Order: sequence, then structure tokens, then C-alpha cells
Amino acid sequence: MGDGAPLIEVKGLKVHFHTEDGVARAVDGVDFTIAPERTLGVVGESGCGKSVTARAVMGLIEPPGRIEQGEILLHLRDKVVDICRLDPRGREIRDIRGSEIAMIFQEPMTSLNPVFRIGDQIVEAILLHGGMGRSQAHERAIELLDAVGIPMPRQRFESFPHQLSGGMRQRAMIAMAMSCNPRLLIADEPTTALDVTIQAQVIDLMNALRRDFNTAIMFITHDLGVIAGMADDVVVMYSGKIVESAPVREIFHNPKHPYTQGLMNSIPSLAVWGARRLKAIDGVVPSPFAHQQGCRFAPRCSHAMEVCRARSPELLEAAPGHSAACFLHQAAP
Amino acid sequence: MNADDTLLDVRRLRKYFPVRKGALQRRVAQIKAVDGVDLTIQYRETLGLVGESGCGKTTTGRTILRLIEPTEGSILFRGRTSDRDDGEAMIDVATATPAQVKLLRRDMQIIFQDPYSSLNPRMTIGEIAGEPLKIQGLMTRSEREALVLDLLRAVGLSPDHARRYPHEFSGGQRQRIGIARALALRPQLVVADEPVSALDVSIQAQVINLLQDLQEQFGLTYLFIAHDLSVVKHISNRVAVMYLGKIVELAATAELFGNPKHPYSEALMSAVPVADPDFKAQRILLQGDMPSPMNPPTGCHFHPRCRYAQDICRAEAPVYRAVGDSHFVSCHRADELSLRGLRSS
Repeated sequence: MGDGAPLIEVKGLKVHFHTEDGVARAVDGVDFTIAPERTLGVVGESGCGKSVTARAVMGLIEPPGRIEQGEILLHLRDKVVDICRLDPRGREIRDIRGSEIAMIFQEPMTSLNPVFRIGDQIVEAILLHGGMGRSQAHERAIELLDAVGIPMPRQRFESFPHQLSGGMRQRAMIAMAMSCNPRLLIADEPTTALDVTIQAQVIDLMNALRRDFNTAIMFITHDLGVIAGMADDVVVMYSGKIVESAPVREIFHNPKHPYTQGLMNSIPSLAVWGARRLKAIDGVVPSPFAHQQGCRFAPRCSHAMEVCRARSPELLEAAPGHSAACFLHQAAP
Repeated sequence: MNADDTLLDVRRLRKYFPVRKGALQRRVAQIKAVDGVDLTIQYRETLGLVGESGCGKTTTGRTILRLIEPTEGSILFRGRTSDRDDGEAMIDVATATPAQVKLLRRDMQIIFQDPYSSLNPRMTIGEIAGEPLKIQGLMTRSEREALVLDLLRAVGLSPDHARRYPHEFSGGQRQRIGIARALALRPQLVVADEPVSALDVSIQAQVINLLQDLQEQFGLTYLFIAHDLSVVKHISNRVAVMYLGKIVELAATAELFGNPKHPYSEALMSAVPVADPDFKAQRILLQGDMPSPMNPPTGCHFHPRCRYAQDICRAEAPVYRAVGDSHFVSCHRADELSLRGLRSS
């Protein structure tokens, strides 16, 4: 990853949900860093903990969820703040949200208020973080709508969210997220609900914004194709843990963890010709309530050894810049 | 293609939904969800039907099964019209009587997208998978139960799952239950409506492989409806591309992806993200969104988003025609354009 100070350092993060059915270990010991102006792709299937990790970085964990352990260090210009230690409803985290870290979601309607005009919602976000008068904020909002490729931004300023199509709403949400020039944009499956031609437009837009605003992006998705086209660095999550972490080309050309390899083999690709049987990963994703010993992937892994069922592998460097949590790549203990 | 191998022959199929407004529920407009679809499906082949949301692919599938009443057109299907019928003659599903439709259900079944809402939570897995047999009044209870156990095994579940309830199963397992139900009557044709799009990536492959195995084992014919081009390319023998209620292109899979003739097919392929960071996608970014099927554009429905559009495209609707060996397209400029497909490597 890049030189110099990181933007975000996550160390030993554990987020558990204390429910009537037991404790769900949604995130169970996760370490990663995000460098300034880089895009980190977070890949995993549903329930792997990728969205909970993102919400923790945003300081959005609420009961029954609880941060059990770990730190999320945000490197500001003059100091380092541990987001885990901040009151989720306090002043400090609210200053960070929006101006330092902004987030966009899969379903834009979860973050757009249906009864306000989209322009006014963006103006409000700008005003909240100060530094501008109302008319200046109004002009800025129109600029932003234009920057995210909404045609006729002056007219669209007056639209309500339901008057926009799914792709346009996603653009409006991106405009709102970018309104205060955040240093990190967290995108949680932002294109999953969109059709493929609209998805291509939104990905194109995000890549352009990243160049123009110098924003780091944490891009969460289950779609390996989207990751390949967007990310600089990738972490692969499985059942609450990171199983592999590497620069994007390493992950795709030289995957080390059997789960990553399994994912790559199980997707049909447009680039592959001729009939070929997909190599499916057998079994199912373990329940986050299950407290299983050893590697979480062992029951589905064709390489599983005795040690895999007994002990949980740590995420260790297997090659320079490339880490895997797998005993196949670690010296015998 | 031999006409005798045709299992399904859909001609000029239309389905318009009325839009009603006001206290009198007056009809103020109509949504042309399916607007003149022609397609055929041969025995034991998989025809992929691909398109973006709102293009009418699901309505097409459901209308073919008469789960939705067609507005116009014919749906010729080689199936049984009476208990003694051997199913050799073509009958028109669109005009079949309710009693005939019930018999036709033995030969045409559906797998739904959502494995959660499509299984009754109060029924056991055994009851769900055996229900088609019960409705058709086939077999005694014990025969039915025995067959259900075979079915569960065939779809990769265990016979002791029969007494359990849907909530005890994961999405992938539920989809297997839905597949078992669709196969209970040993149908000829299965309409698979986005059968894997609600599933996780690692589970998708399991279900795709299962569908292919079952096709082999039971000699099934699939109409495979999906928005995911990679999945459609993987599983289909031929592919039809739909846009705004019409099929814009239909050809054998390798032909369609290697040599597309419709600009929409070309753009759709180029937009799919490929899982290779070195793959330099030359994306054709379509401008704007799909127009409303309530108020489609004049001429060719695709012209407002088409980078090759000319005056004729705005004025006249193109005719759906053959441009090569079993390659059909509806584009005025299909013969002169040289479009970019996926290169074979």
C-alpha cells in the first residue's frame, strides 16, 4: 500500500451483536488500513461482516451491536482519533461524519429523505458542516449535482427523490456524500441494486470523482468484477474475518486463500469461452452464532488439515504486501 | 433446426397492463410489458432471456405459463390436452381452457427468483415438494411421499429434510426445494425466473451446476430468465436479448456474444464488469435510463440511447428479421454496422 501515514487503521476490531438468540460475532478480529487516495475493495458474501465493518468505521454501531475490542484510528491533520472510543451520538463523531468520512448505501432511499427536495438535502449537509452561507451552499449543491452527471442540475435541485430513477438517486446520494470533500468515502454495495448499464455509469462516475476529489474509497461489494475494475487493494472477508489481503492484481492473478480461489472459480465469466463446469464451493456459510473452533472455512475447504480444525489461522504475510489467514501458507506451528 | 424438435413456439405475444386512475378506475394508459415477442424453444435446449429490469422478461415467462393472461398472440406448446393425450400435437396455451391449463401444468413449471417468498412457511418441505402431485391428483399419499424423497435426493437435499420447515434452510437450500417442486410432475419445460440472482456467489455455482445436471438427467428444456449476462452465457444454448417489451436480438450463444448485431446487445456486454484487473474494458456507456414502457419512444425503442441512431430509427420501428443462420435482430442498421462482441481468447 502507499507510503506515508495511513488514513484509517483498523486493529483487532470485534463487533458482536447481543440478541435473544445468542451472540452473533459479526466482525471477529479484523485488521486493515486504508491509505489516502486509495480504493480498498472489501469482498465477501452476505453475513461475512463487511457492512458491519463499514458501519463501525462510520461510528454507526448501535445496540444490540457492540464494539467488543479493537481500535479504528482515523489520522486527522493534527491528531489521531480512535472512532471506537467516541460516543456514537456525540459531537466529535458528527463532525467526522460528512466532513472526513461519508457513506453511500445500496438503497439510496435509506439516506435520502422522501419529503424534502434533493437540492435542499444537499444544502443542509453543506450548512451543517459550516463555512458557507445559504446562497453559496445552494450554488455549491448545483455544482455537485452537475459533477455527478445529473442533467439539468438547476431543475433537478427541485426534484423529490421519488421523481428520480434508481441511477439518478444513487448519483444524488453521491453528490450529498461528496458535499464536504470527505477524505474517505465508504460505498456499501452502491451498484448492486442497479441494472448493469446504469452500474457502469455509476462506477465510471466514482472513478472520476476519486480523481477530482482525491478521496479514498472503501468499496464494499460481493461482485468480483466490480472490484477488479475499481480497487487498488482488496481484502476478502469470510465469516467475520479477513482471510486474504493484497493489491488487486495479486488477488486476482495469485489468490492464496482457498476461499478466494474458490470464489474466483465459482463465477461464470464473460471472458471464458466454451462449456465448462463451474467449480462450486460445497457447503454453506457458517452461522455467525456458531462458535466454531479452528478456521471458519475449514468445513468447506478441500485442503483442510488437522491443524485447521484445531486452531484459527492468523492473517500473516505470505509474500510481500500479500497476507493470507491460512495454514497452507504458514510454517507449521 | 428441425421444426419437429420445437417444444414451444411463441408468436406475436403481447401483454398490456392497464393503468387505472380516479374513483371510477378509468383506464388512462397501458403498460406494454410484452409487446410482440416471437421465440421458439427446442427440446432439451436452454434459451436464455436476458435484459434489464422492466424489460418484460419476467412477464414473458409468466405469460407463457398462463400465470398471466396474454393480451394477444399465440403460445404453441407440445403438451397434453387430455389425460389420454400423448402430448404429440401442438396446442395453443393462450386459448386453452382452464381444465387444459391444469393438464398443461404437468408439462410446464416454474422456478421463482425469491427462495423466501416462494415457499409457504407453514408447510413442510415434503408437503411443498409434493403439492403439485396432490393438486393434479396423481398417486396415493404413500407413493407421493416416496417420490418426494427421491426428488429431495435429486436436488441434493437429504430425505430427512422432508419433515422440516423452510425457515430452517439457507437461501441456496430453499432454492433447491423450489427446484424439487418444479420437477415433481416431470415437466418438459421449466421457466427459471432469475433462479440464482438472490443467492450468494459461492452458492450460485452450486445451483447452476444442479440445474445443468437435472437437465441432463430428466431431459429438461429451460427458459432461463436472468439479468446477469455471465450466467446466461454460461448456461444457455441460445440467447434472446429483450429491451422495452421486445426481443431485439436472438442467436446461438457464441454467435450472439461473439458477433452481436444489435447496438443494445453490444452496450450491454461491454458494461458487464469482468473479474480481471488487467481486462481493459472498452465500455460503451449508454446515456440515460430505460424509458417507461407506458410511453415508449417512437420508431426503434432504443434510439434515444443508441449511438448509431439515424433519422430512420426515430421514425420507423425496425422489423425483427433474420440476418444470418438462425440469428435474428431488430435494427435498421444491422447489416452495415460492425459491432464489437467479446473476443474469444
